[in-house]
Amino acid sequence: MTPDIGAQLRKGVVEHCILGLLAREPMYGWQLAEELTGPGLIASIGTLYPVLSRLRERGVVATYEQASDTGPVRKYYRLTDAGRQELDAFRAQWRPFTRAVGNMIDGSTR
Amino acid sequence: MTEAQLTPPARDYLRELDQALAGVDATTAAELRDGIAESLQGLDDAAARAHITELGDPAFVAASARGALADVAAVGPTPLPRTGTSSLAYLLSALAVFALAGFVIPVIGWIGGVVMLWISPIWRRGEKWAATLIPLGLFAAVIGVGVSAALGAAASMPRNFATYTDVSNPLLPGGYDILGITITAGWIVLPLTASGVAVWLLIRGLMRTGRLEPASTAFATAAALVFALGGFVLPVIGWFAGIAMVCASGVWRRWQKVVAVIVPVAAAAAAIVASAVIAAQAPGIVDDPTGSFQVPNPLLNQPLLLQWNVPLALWPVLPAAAALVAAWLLIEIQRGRRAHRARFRA
Repeated sequence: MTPDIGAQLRKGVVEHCILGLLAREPMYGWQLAEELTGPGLIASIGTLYPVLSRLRERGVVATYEQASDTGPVRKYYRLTDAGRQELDAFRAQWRPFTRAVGNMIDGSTR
Repeated sequence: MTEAQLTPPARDYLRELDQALAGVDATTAAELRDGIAESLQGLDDAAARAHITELGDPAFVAASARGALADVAAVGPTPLPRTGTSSLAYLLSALAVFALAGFVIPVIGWIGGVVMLWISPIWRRGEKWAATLIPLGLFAAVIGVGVSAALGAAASMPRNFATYTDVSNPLLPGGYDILGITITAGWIVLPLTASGVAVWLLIRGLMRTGRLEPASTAFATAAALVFALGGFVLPVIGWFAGIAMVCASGVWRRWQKVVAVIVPVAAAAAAIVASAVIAAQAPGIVDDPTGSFQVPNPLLNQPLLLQWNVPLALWPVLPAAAALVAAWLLIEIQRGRRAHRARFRA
């Protein structure tokens, strides 16, 4: 049984991709879903909310409600200070990690 | 949020989604539904239909929510907030009440502990049921066995004695005997069992709050050692602690855990049965040590628990059998590690 490699990779990074998106600006659910389904990081909006619940339980994401220009009140997700710290920690590890993995799998000759 | 701002196709979609979300964790399901509902709000019919196409089939949306929730479970325990009823202080005090309060205030103290367990999010529902039913079941079993043994003793009374006397049969289980059995069951068996279950709950709780790594060889080795020696140090409870640790460990397979539990119990049970058979065959009248006259067999004057050598079965038979099993468990750890390394080399 070969696990779906793409799925494993996505699972590993989707939380921090959400933190990265929210670091730019607070977003509501559908906005996040569109950003993440485009590049295939989540399968559907259904995948998003369990991840958001988890992030909120961990205290790295918080919500607030705000009326939009077109009318409906929307629930926005924003990064907390703890979330910012976690994202910084992830960023610090991500580049050396991808570099190390790249070096190993690209079959470079010594 | 007002559903009035939704068009009929949007409302239909949400209704189907509600059905598809049946069984999904309620908080997540509500948040997902609200999120989708808010994205459908204020859209006219055509726009709503277009958006519904983008959202995808409700069954697919619900399935991906289920998949994502299962991933969370597979990744491991979600770190619980370490406050209130999921704090370490609460975990420890709930287990202390659950295990020990029954010794102080029989039964009622234990019930207090059960309530504390049930209101905490640390333990899963199955664990809470086990914590409630295992001590309760043993408590009921001891009362049942005790009362029926007392009734059996009364039935085996010499008939002529029982029939020709006006005084009530002294061996019939009177209020006094029933009280004694109930006190033994409620004051000793219940909290003793609860203490064993509490060790298991402690390990599960520490795992769930991310304070314990059960898959490690170090934990498994510690579990095997507690399993081997616990029963010698603290009769029965120490062995319970070993069982709890062995069962919590991620190293052994289920059948190995079952063997680890059954073998010492079987050894102790065999010892008790053998003694009971010997006691049953013991003559009622034996020679006095001086050999000059005969006396009633003093063995049969002892309480049944002593006649059946129950204390001996619990110490040292049970821990000795457990020690043998623990040696096997330790060998299995080593074998597992070798197999693991071989797989990596292959």
